[in-house]
Amino acid sequence: MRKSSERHFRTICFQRIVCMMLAGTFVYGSTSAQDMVYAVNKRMATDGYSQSNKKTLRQVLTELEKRYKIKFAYSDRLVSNQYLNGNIAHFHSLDETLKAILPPLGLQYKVVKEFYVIQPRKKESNKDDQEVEFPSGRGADTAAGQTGFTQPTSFEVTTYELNAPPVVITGKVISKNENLPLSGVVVTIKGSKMAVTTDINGNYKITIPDNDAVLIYSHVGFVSQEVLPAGRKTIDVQLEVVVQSLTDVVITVPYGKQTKASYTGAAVTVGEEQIAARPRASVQESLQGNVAGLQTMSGSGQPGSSPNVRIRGIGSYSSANSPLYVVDGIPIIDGVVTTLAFSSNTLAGLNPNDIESVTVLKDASATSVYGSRAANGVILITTKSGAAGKTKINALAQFGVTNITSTKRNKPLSTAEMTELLTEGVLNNTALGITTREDALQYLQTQGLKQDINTDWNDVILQPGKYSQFNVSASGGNDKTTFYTSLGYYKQDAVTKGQGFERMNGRIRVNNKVSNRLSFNGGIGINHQKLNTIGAAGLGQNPVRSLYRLVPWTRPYNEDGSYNRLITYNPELLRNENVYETKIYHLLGNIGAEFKIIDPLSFESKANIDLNYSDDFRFWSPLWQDGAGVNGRGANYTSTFVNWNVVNLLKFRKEVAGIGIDLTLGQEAQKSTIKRVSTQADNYITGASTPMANASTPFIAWSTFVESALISYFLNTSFNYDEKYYLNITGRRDGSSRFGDAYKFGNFGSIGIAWNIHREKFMEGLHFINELKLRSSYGINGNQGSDWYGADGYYSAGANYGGDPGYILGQIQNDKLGWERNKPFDVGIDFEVLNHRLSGTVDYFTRTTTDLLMNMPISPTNGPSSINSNVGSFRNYGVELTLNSRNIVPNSKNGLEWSTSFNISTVKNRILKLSDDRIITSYYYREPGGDMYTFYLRGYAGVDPQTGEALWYRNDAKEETVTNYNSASPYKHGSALAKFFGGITNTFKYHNISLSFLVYCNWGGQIYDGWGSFTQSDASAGVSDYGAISRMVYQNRWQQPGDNAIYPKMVYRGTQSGLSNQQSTRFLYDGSYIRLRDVTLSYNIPVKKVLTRAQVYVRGNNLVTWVKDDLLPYDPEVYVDGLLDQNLPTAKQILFGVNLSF
Amino acid sequence: MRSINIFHGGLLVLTLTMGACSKSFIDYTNPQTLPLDGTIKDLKSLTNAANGVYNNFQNVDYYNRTFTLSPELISDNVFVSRRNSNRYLNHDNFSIGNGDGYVLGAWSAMYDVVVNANLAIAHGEAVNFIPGEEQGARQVIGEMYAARALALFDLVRFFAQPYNFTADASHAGVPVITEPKNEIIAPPRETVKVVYDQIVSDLQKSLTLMTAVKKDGRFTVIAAKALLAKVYLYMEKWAEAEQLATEVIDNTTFKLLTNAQYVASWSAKFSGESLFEVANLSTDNSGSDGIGYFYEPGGYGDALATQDLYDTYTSTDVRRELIQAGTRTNAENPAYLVRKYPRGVSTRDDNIKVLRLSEVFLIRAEARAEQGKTNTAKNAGAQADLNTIIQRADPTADPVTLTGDDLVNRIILERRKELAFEGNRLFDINRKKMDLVLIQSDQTRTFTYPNNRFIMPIPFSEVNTNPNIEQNPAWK
Repeated sequence: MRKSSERHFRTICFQRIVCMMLAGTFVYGSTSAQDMVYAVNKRMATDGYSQSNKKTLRQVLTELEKRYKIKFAYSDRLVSNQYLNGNIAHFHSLDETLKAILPPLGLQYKVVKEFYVIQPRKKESNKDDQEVEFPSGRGADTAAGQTGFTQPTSFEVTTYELNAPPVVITGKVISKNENLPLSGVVVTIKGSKMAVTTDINGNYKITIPDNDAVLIYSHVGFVSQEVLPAGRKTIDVQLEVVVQSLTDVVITVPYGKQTKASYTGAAVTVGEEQIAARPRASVQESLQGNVAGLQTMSGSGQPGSSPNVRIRGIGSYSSANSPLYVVDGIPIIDGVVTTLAFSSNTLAGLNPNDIESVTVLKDASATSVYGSRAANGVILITTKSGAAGKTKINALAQFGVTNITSTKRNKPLSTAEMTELLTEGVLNNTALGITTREDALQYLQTQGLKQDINTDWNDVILQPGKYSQFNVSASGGNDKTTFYTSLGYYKQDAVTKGQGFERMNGRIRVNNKVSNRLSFNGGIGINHQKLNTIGAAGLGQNPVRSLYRLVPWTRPYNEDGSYNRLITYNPELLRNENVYETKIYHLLGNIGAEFKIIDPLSFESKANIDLNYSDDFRFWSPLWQDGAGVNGRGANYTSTFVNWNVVNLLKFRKEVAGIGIDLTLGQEAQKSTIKRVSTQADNYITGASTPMANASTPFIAWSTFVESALISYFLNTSFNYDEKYYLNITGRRDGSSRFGDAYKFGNFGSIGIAWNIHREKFMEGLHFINELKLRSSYGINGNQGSDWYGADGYYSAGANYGGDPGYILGQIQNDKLGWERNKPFDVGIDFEVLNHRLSGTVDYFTRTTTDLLMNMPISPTNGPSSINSNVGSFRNYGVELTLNSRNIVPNSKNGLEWSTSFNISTVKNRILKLSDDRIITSYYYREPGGDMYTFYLRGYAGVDPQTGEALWYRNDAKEETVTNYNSASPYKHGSALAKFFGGITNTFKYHNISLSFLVYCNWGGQIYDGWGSFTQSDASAGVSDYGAISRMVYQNRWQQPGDNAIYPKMVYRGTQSGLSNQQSTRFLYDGSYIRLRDVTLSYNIPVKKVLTRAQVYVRGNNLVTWVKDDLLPYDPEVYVDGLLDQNLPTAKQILFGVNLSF
Repeated sequence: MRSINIFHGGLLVLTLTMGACSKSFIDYTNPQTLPLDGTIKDLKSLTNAANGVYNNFQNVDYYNRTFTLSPELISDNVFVSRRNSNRYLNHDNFSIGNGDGYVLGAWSAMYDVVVNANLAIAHGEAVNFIPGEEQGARQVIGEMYAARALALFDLVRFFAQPYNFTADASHAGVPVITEPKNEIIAPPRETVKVVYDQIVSDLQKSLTLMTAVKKDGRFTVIAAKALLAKVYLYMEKWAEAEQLATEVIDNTTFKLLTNAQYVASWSAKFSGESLFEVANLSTDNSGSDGIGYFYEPGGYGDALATQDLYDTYTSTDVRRELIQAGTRTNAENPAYLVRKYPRGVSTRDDNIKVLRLSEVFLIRAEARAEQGKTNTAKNAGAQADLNTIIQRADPTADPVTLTGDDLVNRIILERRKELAFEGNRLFDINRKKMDLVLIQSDQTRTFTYPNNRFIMPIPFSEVNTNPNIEQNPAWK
């Protein structure tokens, strides 16, 4: 066989070289003790330097293994008879040491996964014999591929000196779950230092001394396996993934990476398996249910919309309540960058398929390095980068369909059902003097009721939306340069016709190692989002508003096929004739350099730019009333957000007498600007398309510009002793342009400690505990609030009159306005027990915000009716529990496997202090002792069973009820904030099939329907086009004396109940729900050639929702404020997908 | 060495950013704003400040809609069609709550006028104008006094019972603020008397400063005198009202429109009898929120005139042409469509006529008729003024020869007809101590005088932030 003969030839050549090198053994000694570099010193050796310090290379390597907690792999032959002089305590780092001692011995090393593999040094003399070249990397793979020869990715050795006849064993190592070949698996013989590694296809070949030798297969992230060959010549092995091991998990931390074991903060990393290939435009949505302490609330089902993300509760009163998003080290602008598409989201531009991991930093240790911007936690997003080796290509395609989640409860009433209600209403309105149903019906017909028309607005407005996603990426590289590049396309229709989201992305990331001291990295991501958002919430154009309110006896088209223009906001006309288009162009780029100045000092510099350009276009057709008077109107709004940021870091890393020291001195500057331009033009050429070139009358021209900047200096220090005890201290000084002169700068900092208890001697006997770590942190962060010019008092321009410019008092000065301070405290335990079968984290946290920034309401007699103030303080506190369990561990290759991950969190909010006794804004009552989202409403007391009239409590004593709404006083009710929330994911695998599903639960918050008084109008709206009544009222209304009804009697154009301003607890619901969120059934098609992986799957999102409150007509998922706001309901999706890897 | 050069490059970045870290790097002011101090420094900047004050009159909850519409809805003149866009239903059905957004909007916009006028007056009076600008500056400052007076007059009419509700006008009025404050204020309500005294004082002051007689869209001597006449009328200071009205009528700059000019004047701006109107441009952005859009059948068309009002006009009355008898599709038939704001759908820039010469005739007629109850010599003049307005609209109409209460009532009816849809009806009913006949699409209800609900609630937002303010009884 050609393959084996070549292999044999190689082995012989190898032997020859080794012998050649051994012939020239050198002796090395150290230079003086002051010289920190343990350099090769040939002069001393030839001078006959004392050999009293002489150690064998093997001894030295063993010492290094101990010191640096690493493993070497080498052939005995390579290290025997190699001697060194000196004391390795003088070495600066492992890297320096090895570079100092190995080359003169004709050796070099290479890191293969967790092993430092010692191998003969590449020699120029081998140039004439290409076949003999030692594979020092994957650069040789291409040639190997061409010859069809499977070349090991690392070296192999044989030990001919052994007595017993050697046995050659070959085989393939694959991953147990995915059946993918594993490259770089180190195969060693127990008790020996001999090692080989598997090649790109997972193949290996090893020569063992005898059949009693035990082979050990180890690979980072996988459970090591020992195999007794027992006479076999071919041994195929499946390695099992290690489920979250503290020591191995590398997490992204501010300005770097470190292992979780060494980290003093509370952080959760979500891998790509929870993020990629989901039918959700933005990564934030996929965090829901996967991270303890993090709430994602998508108040709108608009694809690509911006959800509320809160880490450990609400940190601030002002809108600056979102965490800081850092993409590859770039703090980016999140949220809305458009003028009209209120729900747009810059993060929806980031392709989740490009994300390698998302790390959520929750506490002070985690966040204080980002100081001023991290008060609400930090979400670090790391995009994929390439690895040296064969270029990998991944492709993904998905197709699916989107539907509304709940339709039964709010299915619009038919004309017959509405007629039933209105007839009752006429009879109940004694002032009309109508006593029979026939007369009532006749009266209603004179008022405009048309019994022969029955429009189901569900059919007109809703649709099963289409969904598709395609993605292709390529990554690879060589020793010097690695790259990752991708292209993606995503399209999702909303559940309402005419609305949707589309995205295109391109991304490239390159890392280059110039030399051992200098490396560069850079990346650029470009994306384009296109949204169609007709309008939301209270806007008349909002199709959801029309869905809930339009009566069934109106219809979108007249009999002749023309639009029915009597409906003010005819949804068909709006979506067909008007244009509601938003485009967002986003560029995120960074370039960075790392330079090792002189060990242990290194310098890093990074410059980033985050550009957002949005372009909203609206067109009001002459067919629609807003465009009719002006013969069509076009409106174009553009916004340009430029956000740049520069970071310089000076890093110091050293270990002295068992104490590891890690210092980072940093400086950062950030500047953000926003420019907005708005133009409108009227009077279009009939039938022309919508660009304003087709209009004749310029109408509005307008632009604004704002800017904000931040400068920061910080020092991050970490110490550890023996990797058991960790201490992290950070300090930071930030200056923000958003505050008054005396209050611009703020000092922030944190302290964190961690104790890896399982490393203690006294734990050695407790074998069931694999990992145990205790940690705690406290710190102070700042929040600069959302108002860019919050402290100034000023006149606002734009208050023009008669075409002349004018200004009015815009804001009242508060030069004492200063930083809001957020003080997080955390204590937590990370553990892993029962042979890694169960792991978890428990955290208790408090988060106190002082100097709360708030746009505090003041008497409108001041002019402006609010002022930016630091109004008080509040605290969030709670407990988080995360558990990961492998319930069934398979005992054979295709056996059943079952794992569960579970998290649950509680968050409570309590106001500590307020500058006023209480602050009441919109529906909320805030006072010390209460929470920030306590509802303040009149109490609805149900229905008088005899009269059918609505009742309200006079006050919170609830002793007296009144029938006059205005005689009732509002009082406090429950909070909008959930008591707890969490998710549980179960994953089953059997053969090539796997099934996983996530159940999400949000429990205990109240939600309020501010529009309820419109949809539950009790016939007070009469026959008005927008007077549709909710199905809940139809089912639960009072009809005759003695009825214990939930809702009052219908009174045609009545005023006792049902008026549009009668806000009360009638519309307050329990928002608790449980949702079957993410279900995936997948099948790995066994593939051999070309493809390395082929997976097909069916995935469902939000498939089933269980709502606690029987009266709640809508989907319960709302924003943090607990308001149902006629937004697009959350959608459910079912999709089919294919993933291919080459 | 290459790597060293690159290292220098890194240092360069460092240096650049350090340079950026000077204080100026974090020191910005909002380019869309101007500082409160030092901005008003000459006639031009003072005029800009005055523009801001006038701009507040354009608020959709002030003259551009709510304050012009609501006093008509809460009366026998206008109602909301049963096919409607859900606006002002609680005004139409007499069930306004203290959280009503329209009422809050009106309260806030009116105080915005007061606060901004105070700034313009205080800063304007502190400037030493160059001689060429003195005259102009006095005029503008005078306008600001008049603007403040109008806002206070509107506040006290909307949120407090009329002057004659108590014998000495000692009942609750509204907060009076006359100068900029350096602190957050929470002022109490003054008595109605104090408020009216301030209004009169402001108008008298404005008359000492202003010299302009005609200045479109802005206060003039004539406009201020007309307003003062109206204020005196509400205070029942009949002689003073008559005196001021006479001064306005005797001025030759403004003349009553002819019968032929009348209807067309409603689609035009700044007619010959318009003494003060709020000027609107298409770009002033009331758009579909403007009053015209609310009345015009091509817009929302929600507000319809009552048949009761329509029937008060004779068929030969030119004013009836401003009400079009037609139908509201799928709703009222017949429907009386209001065409007094005819630009509401097309250019959406109807000016709001706040003071017209015809009202001044009716003010003088009423002032004379009231005096005529004790001094019969005044009756002829009252009848003459009334007949001027009646016969201008309908030349075939018989002259009125009534006296006493009958004459006064006839004048109030003529006010209803002449000033319909201009935001006066509720106030006339209340100050004349009449019962309120509330006409809606499908029902008519009568509310007797005195009535706590003839005035608006102090908005919840004010009560919530101002511990010193007292709520009106109906919302306590």
